[in-house]
Amino acid sequence: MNEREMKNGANSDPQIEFCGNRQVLVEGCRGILEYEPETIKLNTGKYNIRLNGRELQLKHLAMGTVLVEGCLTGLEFMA
Amino acid sequence: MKRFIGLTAWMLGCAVFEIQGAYGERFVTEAARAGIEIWGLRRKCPGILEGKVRLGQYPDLAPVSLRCGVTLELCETRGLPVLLRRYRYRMGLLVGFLLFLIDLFVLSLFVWKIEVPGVSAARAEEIEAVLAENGFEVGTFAPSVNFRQLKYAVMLAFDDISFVSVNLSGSRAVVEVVLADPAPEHVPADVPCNIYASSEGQIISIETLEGVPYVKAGDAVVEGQLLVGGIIDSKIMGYRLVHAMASVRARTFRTLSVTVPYRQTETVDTGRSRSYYSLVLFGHRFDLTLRPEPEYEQYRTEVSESTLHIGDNLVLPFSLIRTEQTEQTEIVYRYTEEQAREEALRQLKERERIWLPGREIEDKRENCVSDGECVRYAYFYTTIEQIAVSREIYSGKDDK
Repeated sequence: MNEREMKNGANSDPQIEFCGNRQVLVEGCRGILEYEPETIKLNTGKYNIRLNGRELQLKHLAMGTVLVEGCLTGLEFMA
Repeated sequence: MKRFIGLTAWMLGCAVFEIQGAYGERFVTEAARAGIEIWGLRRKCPGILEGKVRLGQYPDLAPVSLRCGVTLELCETRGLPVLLRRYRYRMGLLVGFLLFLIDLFVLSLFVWKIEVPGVSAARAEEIEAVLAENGFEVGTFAPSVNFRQLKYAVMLAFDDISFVSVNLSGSRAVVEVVLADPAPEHVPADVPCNIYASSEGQIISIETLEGVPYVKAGDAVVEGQLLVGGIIDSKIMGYRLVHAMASVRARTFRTLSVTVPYRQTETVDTGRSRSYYSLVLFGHRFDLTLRPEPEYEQYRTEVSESTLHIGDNLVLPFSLIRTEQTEQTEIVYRYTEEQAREEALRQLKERERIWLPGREIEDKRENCVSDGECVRYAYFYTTIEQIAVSREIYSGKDDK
């Protein structure tokens, strides 16, 4: 894998930014697969992300960016 | 930031919608792909999602809902566009609002408050009177004011003002005034003058730079005595007048004394007070109380003014003046001799602190006398100080 491929690979990865356990911003989201107050499953292309917690809420959703608020208890990467 | 976002959402308007069906997640994903911004998404109950979109984007949700097989329902619309649409047939409201804005604009063109900070209330009134004479008072049309002329008028009217600036912020005018330091009394170097003694004493030294000395070291002088003359009598040139200059140091005897009576009175508030209100409309004052006569024999007055304003600078021509009269009474108490002595000493030291600079103390004695009525405390000083004071020679008039 050359440097360019590595860069491209890095760019296609989702950017996930936590603010404590109360807020998480996911950039590069391709869709919502599951939306429940206890779990939110997001499609990010290469893999899926499952956010676990309580009273989870999709505060904002636009242009591949998802902002989730609530009491986050876990994050799983799923193939 | 959150408030700003909330305000933006309100300005643009938002629609609260519900989607019912098994494919809520798919609907949300598809909507996002279609460029529709969704926020505040929450699951109300199993099978029902609630969210918000911009009012203009709500029609775009319908085809997405059809594609995803969910039922879309509009629950509520909020924001300014909704409000405007609701009142679109009530033209009176719009006209009233526009009239209010025009009114506000017109009122902001006038001066409704003049402030003169940094000077006493009496001086502020004098300055305001000069401003009024020059056509600048409450109610003046601000664009017509010549501020430069106004500034010069105030500076000409008061000798002790060195700088004036009239700043207009909205309908509030702030007149900034810088008081000049009082110029020391001195005779200009090109004006002939004599030098006299400012107080009685014994001359220690005299150094004459210009003029004719009439006293020498060791002489005793009295206040007002001529020390150095500015009139030189020359046999060759005749009389000529010069600006006498000399340094004259003398030993003087000074006394500072303070008397503190044992019987003291103090004015205190009784706790009873009464307030009167006045309304000021366009610079005219109207009393709201029918009987504004004072009902207390002795009282102090506090006046506070509340002006109606928008922001800091847009002052509207309406204000409420509250005048509070608080009853006062005098209480009498007596100092013990020790207390009176302490108080006298404190006052004496304070006077000494102000009086001392520029004097060299050679000797200092103190004396305290008390009788049945008061305590008299005194400091007796022997000091060395400059006693030369210049006074102009007026031709054709008698010099003292």
